[in-house]
Amino acid sequence: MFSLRSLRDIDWTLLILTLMICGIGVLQIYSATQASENADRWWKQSLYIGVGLIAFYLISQIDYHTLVGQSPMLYIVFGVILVFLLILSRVVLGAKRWIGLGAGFKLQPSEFMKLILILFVARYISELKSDSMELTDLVKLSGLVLVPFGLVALQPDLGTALCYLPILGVGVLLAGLTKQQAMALLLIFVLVVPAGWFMLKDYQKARITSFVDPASDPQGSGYQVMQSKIAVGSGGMWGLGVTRGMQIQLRFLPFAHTDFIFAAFAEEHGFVGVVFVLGLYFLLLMQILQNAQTAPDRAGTAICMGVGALMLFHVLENAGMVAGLMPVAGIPLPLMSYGGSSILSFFLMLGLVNNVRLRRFLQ
Amino acid sequence: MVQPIHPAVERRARWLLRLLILWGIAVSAKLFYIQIVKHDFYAELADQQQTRLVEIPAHRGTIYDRNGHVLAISIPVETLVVNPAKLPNVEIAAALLSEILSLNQQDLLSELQKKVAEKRGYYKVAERLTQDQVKRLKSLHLGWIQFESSSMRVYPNDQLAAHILGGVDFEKHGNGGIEQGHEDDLSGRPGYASMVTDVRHRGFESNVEVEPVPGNDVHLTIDYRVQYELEKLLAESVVANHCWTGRGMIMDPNTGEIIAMASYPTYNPNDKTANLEVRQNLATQSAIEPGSVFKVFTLAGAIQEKTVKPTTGFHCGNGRFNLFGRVIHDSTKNGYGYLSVDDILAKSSNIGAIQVGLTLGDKRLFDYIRLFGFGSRTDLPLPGESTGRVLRLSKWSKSSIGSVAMGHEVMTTTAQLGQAVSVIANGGKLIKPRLVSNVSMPGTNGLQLRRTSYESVPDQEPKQILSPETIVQMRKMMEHVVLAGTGKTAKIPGYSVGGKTGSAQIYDPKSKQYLHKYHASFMGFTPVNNPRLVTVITLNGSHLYGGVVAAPVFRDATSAALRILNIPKDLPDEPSAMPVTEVAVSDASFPLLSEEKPVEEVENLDDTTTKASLVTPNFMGMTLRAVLEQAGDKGLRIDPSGSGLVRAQSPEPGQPIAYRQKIKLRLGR
Repeated sequence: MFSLRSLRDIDWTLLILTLMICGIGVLQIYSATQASENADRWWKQSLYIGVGLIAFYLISQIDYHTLVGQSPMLYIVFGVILVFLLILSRVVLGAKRWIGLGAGFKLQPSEFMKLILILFVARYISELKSDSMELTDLVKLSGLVLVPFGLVALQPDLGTALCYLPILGVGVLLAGLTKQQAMALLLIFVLVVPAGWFMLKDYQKARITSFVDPASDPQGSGYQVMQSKIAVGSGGMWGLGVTRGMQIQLRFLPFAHTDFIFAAFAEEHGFVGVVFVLGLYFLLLMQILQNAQTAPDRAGTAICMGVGALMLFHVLENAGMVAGLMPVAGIPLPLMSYGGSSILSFFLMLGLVNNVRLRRFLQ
Repeated sequence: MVQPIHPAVERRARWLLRLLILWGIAVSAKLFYIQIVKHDFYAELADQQQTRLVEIPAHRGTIYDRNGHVLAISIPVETLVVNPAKLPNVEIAAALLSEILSLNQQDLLSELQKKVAEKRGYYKVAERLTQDQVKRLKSLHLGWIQFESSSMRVYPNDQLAAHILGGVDFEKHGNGGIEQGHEDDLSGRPGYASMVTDVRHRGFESNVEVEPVPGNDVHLTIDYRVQYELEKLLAESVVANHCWTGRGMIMDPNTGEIIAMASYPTYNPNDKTANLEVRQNLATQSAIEPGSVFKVFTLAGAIQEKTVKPTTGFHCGNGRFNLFGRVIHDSTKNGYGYLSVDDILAKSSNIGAIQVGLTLGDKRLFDYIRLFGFGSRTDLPLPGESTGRVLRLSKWSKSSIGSVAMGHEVMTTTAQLGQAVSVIANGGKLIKPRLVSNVSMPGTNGLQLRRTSYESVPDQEPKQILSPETIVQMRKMMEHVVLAGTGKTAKIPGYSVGGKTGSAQIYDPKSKQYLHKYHASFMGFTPVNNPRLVTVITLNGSHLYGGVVAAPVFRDATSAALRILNIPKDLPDEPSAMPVTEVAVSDASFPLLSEEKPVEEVENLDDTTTKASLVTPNFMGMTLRAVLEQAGDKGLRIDPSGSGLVRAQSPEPGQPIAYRQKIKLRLGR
C-alpha cells in the first residue's frame, strides 16, 4: 500500500493557490459581516478550512483506485440519504437540504454527492473498453448522474443539482461520442429545456426572467441582481477598501458573505482585485488540468477533469451571476463563499486531485 | 513535463481549456464594463439608495428685551418614540421606561398594550427628556427605542409680553407678534445633510451639504420689568373695576421706543392651545373710539393754526349745544358757561371742544388728524395691526365735525394714540413707535448689526407737525388737566405730569344705542418740561370715567417705569400745585432714553466679554450634530470632512477667531 512519505510530494502549487483563495475568502467574510450578527463567520470559516486541510491530507492517503472501487457503495448510501431527505421534506413543510450534526453544524449531503459522482463517473469511464461510447453506455451513464440530479432538484435545490451536469459532461467528453450520439444529445437537450421550464418553481422562473431584465422588478426577484451590479459597479477600478463597501455595510447586498461574496469582493477591491482573484482561479484550474494530463490512468484523468469541470462551473456560474451574465442559481463561489459543507467538499475534491498526482509514477 | 497518456484525452483537455479561457474573457469583459465603463452610473445608483437628504433645522433666533433679558429662546429637546409592534416584551418595556422617565407604570403599560392591539407603529412615550434620561436610555442600547431630536420654543417668562412676542406654530414658524413680524430674521435658513441609510432606512451618519444659517437675535425696546408692572397693574385694574378688557403702552416719545405694551386678557405663549381671542394684541389690533383724549389733537390743531389761544373763551351753553340740529350735552349736569380753551381741556367739555373744532373747520381738522398719524398703521412689526378708522371728508356728515372733535366717529389704537401724544411730548415731530432696537447675528452680544427693513423707516426725517409755541401751550394745558382738571388722580409724586382723560361711551351695534359703559382712558407724559415717557391706558367696558379708573393705572405704571428707568424727578417730593410758568422748548436737546442704560447692560457691552465669545470653542470628540448646534448658537461656521466624531480642528480651541470664519473639522471613528 502506497503511503505518503514526504510532504515534498504534495502538490504545493495546488495547495498554496487554494489557501490564497481561502485566505481572501476569510478576509472578505470578515469584512462583510464585521458589523452584523454574523460577525463570528470568519473564524468559523477558518475552522472549516482547517478541517478541510485535514480532509485533504487524509483523502490523499487512500489510493484513489480504492476510492473509485468503493464509489458504487458510496453512491448508493448517499442516494438513499437523498431519498430519505426528500421524503422528510414532504412530511415536514418546506425544503430541507441539511442533516443536523448537533452543536449548530449541519451537513449538506448533496454537496458530497458531487464528489461521489466524480469518482463514480471516473470508475465508469475507466471500465470502458473502446475510445468512444456505445449508446447503451451513454444512456446508463446519463441515468446514473440524472438520478441524484433529480433527487436534489426536487429538494428543490436546482443550483446544486446543475453542478452534477458538468461531471457528466466531462465523463462524456473523456469517453468520446460518435457524431450521431452528439446530435441525439443535442436534440434531447433542445426538447428538455422548454419542458423543464414548466417544471420550475415560480421563484426559479423569476430568477431567470430577472436575469434577462433585472430592472423589470428591482424590488422583487431582480433585486439581488440589481444590488449585485450596483455593488460591483460602484467598486470601480480600485474598490472602496476593506469594510468600506457601502452596499455590504448598509446591507443592500444580500448574501454578501455566501453566494454574493464575489460582488462584495468586487465592491471593496475593484476591478483590479477581481482580475487578481479570477487569475488565481485560472491558475488553480490550470494546475488541476495539468494533473489531469499527467495522471497515470483513465480514472485519474477523469477525476482531475471532473474536479476541474465542477470547479470551473462554480466559478463561471457565480462570477457570471455577479456580472449579470448568468441567472441567480444559489451556487457558492468555491473556497471563498462561507459554508462548511462547500469548503469540505472542495477540499476533498482537491485532495483527490493531489491523490492522483501523488500516484502519477505508479505505472 | 510528463507526456500525456492519451492523445485523445489531450485533445479533449485542450477543448476544456479553450472554453475556460473564452468564458474567463467574457466574465472579465463584463466586469470591466460594469466596474470601469459604467462605474459612475452604478456609483450614482448606490448613492441614490444609500443616502437621503435630511433637513437640518436652523436655530431660531432669540428675542431679548432692552436689557438682554431673554424673552423667547429655542432649546434642543429629545423625544422618546417606540414602535409598539416591535416591542419584545410590553411589560418589561413599560417597567423600564416608567422607571427612567418617572411615569406611571400601569398607565404606560395599558397605553402600550392599546397601541399594540391597534397595530400602531409609532408611539411618543415622552417629550422634553432631560439630558440624564437620554443618557440612561441610550446606555441601555435598546433596539426598539428611538430618539427624535428637535427644538422647542420656550418663553421663560410665561405670559410676560405674550402679545408682543406672539408664538410659533408646530412647524416653528412665527404665528403672531414679533415671532411672525420678524420671522425672516428669526428663522434663519435650514441646512441639508446627506444621511447614509441602510436597507431598512436606518440612518447611520450624515455629511452636511448645506449648513444651516442660524436665525438672528431680535432685541426689543421692551424693558421686561416695566412690562411686568404694566401687565400686573392693567390686569388688577380690569378685574377690580369689572371691565371687559384693558390695553396700555409706555413709550419713549423722543425715540419712539416702546418700553412696555400690554393687553388684558393675556395668555401663556408656551401653551399652544390658548384661544385666538386672548391672543389678540388689543393695543395694536383693536381700534376703538378714543373719546375725550382725542380733544387734545383737536385743540393742538386749532392752536397751531392760531384759530384759538389757551385763553380764548367759549360759551359752553350750560350743557346744551345745538350743532346743525343735533343736541350735544356735557357730562356734568348743568354744563358750563364761559370756559377758556385750557379749561375746556381740563374739564373735558364736549361743547367747548366742538366749538374749538368748528374754528378749524372740516378740512383742517381732518388734515390734523391725519398728520397725527390716525387712520394709518404705525408699522410696528406686529401682524394684524389696525389702521384705525378716519372717515374720508366726503363721507362726513354736517355734524361729523362735532363728533370727531370730541373723539367719536374716529377709531384709534393705543399705539396710534401713543404716537400722536408723543408729538406733543417730543417737541412736535411724528416719530413712529418702534419695538425692535436691533437685529444681531447670534452669539455676538448684539454688537453685530445688520441692515434690515425696519431700519429704513427712521431714515425719513420725522415730520414737524407742531411749532414749539404750540408745544409749550399744549403741555401747559395738559398739565393743567392733571393739576386742576379731570386727571387729578394721575399725579405722580416728584414728577410733573401732563395728560388727558377720556371716557368714550360704547356704542352697542346690536341695540344700536350707546351703553352706559365707557372706554375709560388716560394718556399723558412726564416730566412735563422734558417728557421722557408717554403712557396710554384704556380700560374697556368700564362703568366709571377714565379719570377714575384709567388715570390711577397711568400713575402707578408710569411711576414704576420712572423708578425702573432711573428717570430723575423734576419736582420736590411733596407735589405743589404750582403751575409751570414758561417752558423753553428746543427740538434737539432731548436726551435719548437709551443713553441711560441700567448697570447690567453697560457691563454687557464690556470689551472683554465680547472678545471672549469670539474664541474658537473646543469641538473635539463631539458629534457633527452637537457641533452644528453649538456653532449655530455662536454664529460660527464649520467645514467638516469625514464622519464620526471630531478628531482634529483648525483653528485650535482657544484661538481667537473672526466672526463667521469657518472652522475646519476632521471627523473620524
